Amino acid sequence: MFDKNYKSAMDHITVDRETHDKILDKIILKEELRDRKNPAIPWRVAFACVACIAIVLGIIFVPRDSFKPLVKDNTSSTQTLKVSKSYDEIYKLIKPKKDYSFWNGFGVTDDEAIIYEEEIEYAEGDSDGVVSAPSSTNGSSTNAKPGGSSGKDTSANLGDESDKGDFSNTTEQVEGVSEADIVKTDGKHIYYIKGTTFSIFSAEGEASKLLSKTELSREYTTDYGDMFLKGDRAIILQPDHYNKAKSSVLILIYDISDPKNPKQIAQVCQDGIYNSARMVGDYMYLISNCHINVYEIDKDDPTTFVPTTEVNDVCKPVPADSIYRYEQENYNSQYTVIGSYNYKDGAMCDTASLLGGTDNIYCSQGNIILADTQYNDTSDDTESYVAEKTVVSRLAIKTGTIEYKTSGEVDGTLENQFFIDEYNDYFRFVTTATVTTQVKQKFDNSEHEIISYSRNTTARLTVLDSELKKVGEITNLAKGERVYSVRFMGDTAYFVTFRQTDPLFSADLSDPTNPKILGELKIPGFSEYMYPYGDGLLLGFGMDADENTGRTRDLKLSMFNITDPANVTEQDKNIIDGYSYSPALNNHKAMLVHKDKNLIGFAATDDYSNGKYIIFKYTDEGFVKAATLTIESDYKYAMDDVRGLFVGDAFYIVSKNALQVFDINTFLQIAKIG
Amino acid sequence: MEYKISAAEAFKKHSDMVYRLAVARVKNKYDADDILQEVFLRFIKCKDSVENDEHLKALLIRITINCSKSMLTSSWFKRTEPLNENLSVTDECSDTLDIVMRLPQKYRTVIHMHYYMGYSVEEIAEILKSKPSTVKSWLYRARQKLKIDLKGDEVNV
Repeated sequence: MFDKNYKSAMDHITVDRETHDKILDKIILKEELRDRKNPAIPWRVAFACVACIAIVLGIIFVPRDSFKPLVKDNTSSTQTLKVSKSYDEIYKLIKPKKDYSFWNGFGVTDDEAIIYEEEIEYAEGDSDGVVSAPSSTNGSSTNAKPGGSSGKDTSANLGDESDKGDFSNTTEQVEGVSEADIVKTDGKHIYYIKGTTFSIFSAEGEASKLLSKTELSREYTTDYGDMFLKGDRAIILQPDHYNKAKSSVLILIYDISDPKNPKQIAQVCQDGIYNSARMVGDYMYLISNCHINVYEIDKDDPTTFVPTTEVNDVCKPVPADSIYRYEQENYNSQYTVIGSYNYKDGAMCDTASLLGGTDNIYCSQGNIILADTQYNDTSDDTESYVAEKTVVSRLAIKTGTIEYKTSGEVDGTLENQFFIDEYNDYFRFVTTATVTTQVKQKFDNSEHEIISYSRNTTARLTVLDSELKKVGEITNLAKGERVYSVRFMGDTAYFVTFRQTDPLFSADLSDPTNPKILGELKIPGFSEYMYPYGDGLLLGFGMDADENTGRTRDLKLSMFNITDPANVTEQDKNIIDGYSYSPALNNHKAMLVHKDKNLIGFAATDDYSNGKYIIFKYTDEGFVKAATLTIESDYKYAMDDVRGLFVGDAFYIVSKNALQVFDINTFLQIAKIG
Repeated sequence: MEYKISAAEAFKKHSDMVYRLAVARVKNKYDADDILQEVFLRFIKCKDSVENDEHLKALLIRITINCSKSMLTSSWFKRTEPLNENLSVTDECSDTLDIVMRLPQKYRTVIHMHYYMGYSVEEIAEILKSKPSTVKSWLYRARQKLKIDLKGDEVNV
């Protein structure tokens, strides 16, 4: 039904004849130019010679399977980012170059076309700037100073959500750095964002009740938001908010001192698609990715080509001298925008912007690391190369100010924020690097070289100093496997790679210039996330897998004993039969891990698609299943929005349409609201 | 066996596949036209690395996804011509298309690859260089959203 309808509609979508032919002509032209540029005969002869040598060497020295890292060492090259002096300068960089416009490319002479061809090569990966981009015109904005307070840090941390009380917190990576989530508690109340409603419940066990339900601004807001809690303020982030036909993140600050009647205090907009946010001290740092439509920019109006922020209806572009850029040939029309806002009134403290995108964000108390995956463009001649690299940039943050420091590169890609860590002014990264190697073969009686490519993934660990220059690394770990999860704990790093079995590596980083692998433990399955669980224990949450085929089966908990990092053991494991999906596989915030209360909780769907909340305890005998609670939600599949938390002696499950209350000892349901 | 294909041949063979995936990603024909061209221009550079037909398809999908990555959803604010305007299909079909187009981009991508192109979760993960569990969860969420919008119309799991 659905698939049939979709298929039938899609089948009718075709490129129109004229465009089709136009593009085909263009491709033929380009292909001819390309082939002429690489004349066939000398090329082949040259390769034949090289190839013979290569094969001989290969036979003599190199075992068939072993991979030699012929990788060009560009890891240590630190790129400097330039500060822009004026909007004009940025305009020149962003402005589309005529040569790159597809429809203007015809009627050029061969010589010009070859130059064009070469330029295209540089532009590869940057083509976003060429292809027409989404609209982002904002004509009617006034430039004004953001209202409100300066970047003064008030040190009074009244009722800070990071205060340790007898209640659970959103799972966070770095101590002292709060992460936003859909559910928060301050020990007295439970706050929950569902779509565009903001609900406050009292957390009083049996007597819990709904105190208020507030409809947030819902203009164009389609997705659910995220939230921070601090003092008597709730900071609500609504991604996917369209402000004047631009994508932006809406920040709403609510005074929640009267939970029955929360009052909106401020409304702030930051351009771009929501990426992530962190809260350090009194300031929230919001990171968004902003795309500029290069065909609709106006030299005289910076708001058309520079990201803007809007505080209480006053729109302001990011100052030119806060916009940084890599020293590179071409820029795509994407920015990463970082804004800092005071939690009390939403007053914008500082903003900075980088030309280019950002995938993952790591934030410590003093630094924000932006990591962006880039694809190394390959020239035909390199024999072996790492296809992807991660460009990392460091911004120092201090009481609301954001200062760009430096940038560097790491080979390979990283999966999430846990792949990055800061410790003693060193920055550590675990990445999966895909190395492509050219294999040349010559058959008997044939003039032709056959070039094939073999791709091989390896894990690597890279240590950069505070200037993001490489000081140490370990390469070529876990051949053919991908890194699934990482946890840095001081001088030691633990990471799990997976293809068929799950080696848990431990690495010693006490000497940043000489990281060493301490141990390796191979067990079936893999962990998606790892959480420290008291002294000498590390909890892994992931999937069980068949040792021979690598096929994943059910959810799995592992407890690793890491008292001796050189000899890590799997102290106990629990395969949760009949459950193969949990939102906590993709989102660390969906997992409850609380050592003091001895609670490990997560939502999961069983084989019949029923939503359950499963709670484990870890005792001397190993994992003990404490409860399997039924989640009362109409939305069977919407387990992503389910969170478990506790306040005092009550355990709460917040889901799409209910707040369920359980006794924390017996796990019997004692109340249900909604 | 050496496998060799010119970009022009690949275009003749797979332009519809690339175009439809581009449409599913960017929701409008204008950007999809641009992407279609860009994909094959990029392909010229890596055509020598193609190993077989399956690899060719995977490579084209991969390039299409990269090319359309930063074409953000907001473009339909400017270019409002609905996709299904001139389609001679039943209302039901065009409604379905409409509903799919309301999903976030990554969900549309996996829905398209799974239901239209017929790739399995593992294959999608391989092509997108993602983890099967991630793809699975996207499909899950996409289906869940579709279920609500299609009001009972069965989405086969």
